[in-house]
Amino acid sequence: MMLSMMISGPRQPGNDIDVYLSPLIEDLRLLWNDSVKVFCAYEKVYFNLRALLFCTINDFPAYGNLSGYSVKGHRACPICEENASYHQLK
Amino acid sequence: MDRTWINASRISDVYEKGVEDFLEFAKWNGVAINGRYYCPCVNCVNGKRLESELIREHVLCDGFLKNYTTWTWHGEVLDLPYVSEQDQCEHSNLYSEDCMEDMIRDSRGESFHQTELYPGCLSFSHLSTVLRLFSMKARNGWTSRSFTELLEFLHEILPQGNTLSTSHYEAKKIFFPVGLEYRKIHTCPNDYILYRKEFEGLHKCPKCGVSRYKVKDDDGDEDDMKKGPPAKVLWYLPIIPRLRRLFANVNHAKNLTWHASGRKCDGLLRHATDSPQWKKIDSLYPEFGSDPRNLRLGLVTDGMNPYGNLSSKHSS
Repeated sequence: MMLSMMISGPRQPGNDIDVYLSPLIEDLRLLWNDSVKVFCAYEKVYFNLRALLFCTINDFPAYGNLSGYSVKGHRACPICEENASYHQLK
Repeated sequence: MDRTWINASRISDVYEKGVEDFLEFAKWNGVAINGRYYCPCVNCVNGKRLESELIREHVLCDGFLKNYTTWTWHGEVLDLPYVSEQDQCEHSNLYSEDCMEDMIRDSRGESFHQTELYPGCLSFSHLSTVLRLFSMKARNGWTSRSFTELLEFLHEILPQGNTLSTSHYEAKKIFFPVGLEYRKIHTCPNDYILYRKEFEGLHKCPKCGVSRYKVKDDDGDEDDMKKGPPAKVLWYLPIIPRLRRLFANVNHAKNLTWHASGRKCDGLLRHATDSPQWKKIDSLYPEFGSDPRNLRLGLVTDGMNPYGNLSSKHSS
């Protein structure tokens, strides 16, 4: 587990988190598109390291911020999308 | 003091003598209120204060608490496993030193680690010497100035051509590569832009026009501000050097490929590797999936409360 960035401030950035994530995205792009030369001490060789973002772990409101999809109202579920049955909990 | 009498028969002499010993002990070590001590009999269970006479009666008639062997209620100090401070220090020191040496070796390469202290010195390298000196400095609270003086003196004592640093700062510089880099990026307080790349030199946000710096009431014209503490800062800790560092350590490098080599594969969902997403990525990008050293990262976002105060209005 690594801390990759810390956004300080009196408020959460909410939907504007994309602005803050841009340096991280740049690094991830580099890791995916071009790969980085890294020395592996276990196998004692240099190799091209690539990485991808496999999953995100967050609470539901933050999921909305990160995915850019609504997590409230009629289409609240980013997985079901238009099939979300919003009357279920009546 | 022998306390086996607690388990002896209550009519035996050993027990009676033990009780007398206990009362004597309480008299000398315990804290009495009006000559009353806590009664360690099976009924009072150190809950009531009684006179010595009554305690004797209770303990003889009813019995002494079998598990009350450390008389903490009667002034005995808890008998913790004794480790002298010196030992403890040395132990933790040895450990941290080893880790430290490994870390520095990982980050600067073998050649640096093997720099000898002076030509022909076999037992100490430059690094191990400085680490030992620093641990002594930290343990004994030497000041930086005294440390510099000591280093200068040692430099004179050691044979010609030695590599020992001659000042506190010089010596400390060896540890610099251990701390990983981070970047502090100024941001617009309204979350519009980061002051980087094309916005690097700007003093206010091109979208909302708010100053890059903290504005106080008595600062006058906001537009003229060219310096000061930034209004909002993003701490970015670049991941690539961190991943490099992970691979530079033998154990970590091994653990990074654990999901492909050291795992139990029995068709059950045990790890993210068993998930359909993981396998889908493997089949979509076989080139990526074939090398177990390629990383798949997870991004976790959450707010945290930096001041440990539940009603704090600050978010990080």
